[in-house]
Amino acid sequence: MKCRDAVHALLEASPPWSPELRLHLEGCARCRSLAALHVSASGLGAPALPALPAIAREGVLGEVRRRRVRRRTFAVAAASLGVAGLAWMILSSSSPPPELSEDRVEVVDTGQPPRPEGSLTREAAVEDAAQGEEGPAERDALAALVVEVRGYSRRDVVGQDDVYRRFGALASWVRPPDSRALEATPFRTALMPLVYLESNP
Amino acid sequence: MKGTAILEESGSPATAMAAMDFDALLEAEQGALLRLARRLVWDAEEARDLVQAALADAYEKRRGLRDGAAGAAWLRRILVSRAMSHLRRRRVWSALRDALDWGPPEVAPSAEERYAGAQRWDTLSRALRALPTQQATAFTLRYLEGLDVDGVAEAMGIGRGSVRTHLHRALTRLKALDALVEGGTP
Ligand SMILES: [Zn+2]
Repeated sequence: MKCRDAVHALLEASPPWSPELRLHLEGCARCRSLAALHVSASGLGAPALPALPAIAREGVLGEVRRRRVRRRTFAVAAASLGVAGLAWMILSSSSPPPELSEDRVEVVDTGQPPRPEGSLTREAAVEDAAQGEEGPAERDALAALVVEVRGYSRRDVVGQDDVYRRFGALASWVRPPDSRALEATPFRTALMPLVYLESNP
Repeated sequence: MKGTAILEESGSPATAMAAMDFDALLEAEQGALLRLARRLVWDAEEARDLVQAALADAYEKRRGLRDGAAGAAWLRRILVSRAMSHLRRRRVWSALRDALDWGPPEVAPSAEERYAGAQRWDTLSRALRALPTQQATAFTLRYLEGLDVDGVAEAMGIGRGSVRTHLHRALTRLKALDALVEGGTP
């Protein structure tokens, strides 16, 4: 008999041991020690303790009811959170970015007397351009800038990137929402004359 | 059956029977469950809470019990599972308390230990708390509850081989902790 078999046999039984196990124990100190521990543990019996008061059926059913209330509350809370999250995602993807505040607008000193308030209209811009304040090179640079900004803000950057193409439709699903920056009033007012000039050189 | 009926979704004869069986099972097995819970966690209050939670588990799962004769073993398995989760949590909290140096969890012996009085139970219960949950549970079921290896395996939901491994390690650890000596308790 090997030690492994002896351990299995002695943990499942109690003395008197089988002759085979007894023979092994006589020749193996480790298994003999384990057998002695097993015998002591088997002789422990159960500690004498005072009886506990019985649990009433109502107590058990009360616990079941509390669990149901907890589960229902949790489900309602989870559903509310889900709806709130969804609403937030929808609103944040459709709301325009905040307007630029006055103090964030950089004022460039052109050496010209300032225009009266509210004069940044299409006519005024066309007039400015026609007066030769901006040469063709500047206008081209500005037009290129408009295209570039439009490209960054309106192009589906993730979806069209070669790196992501192999992910197929997934790339479109995870792309950030389109920016509406160019639709904001200040940009529309500033860019419209330029677009007008481009189409009517 | 009034209390049970409140929670029944339908009044079918099968449901009524299940409720009836559950009440009978509660009546018949509650004492044994309370004793077992106490030997597993060594605290009267914790044991009572555990049994109540296990009975609530059993009530919720009662339709899964097909064989009424297996009710006692089924309840014991539910209780042992609950007790093992409880012991694991207690060990984690105990380790956390030690790590954060909040002081020893129980300086004075618990009511159980005071009542049991004898030095050997005090030493053994403390040593069992220091053992990994599965070893302590297997030891308690085998040697204090008197189950055979098959019974321990069934109650713990593990194989016979794992039970033997846990028992072997538990005996060796308890000896190392001076809670068990060859031929008797200290
Ligand atoms: Zn051996």
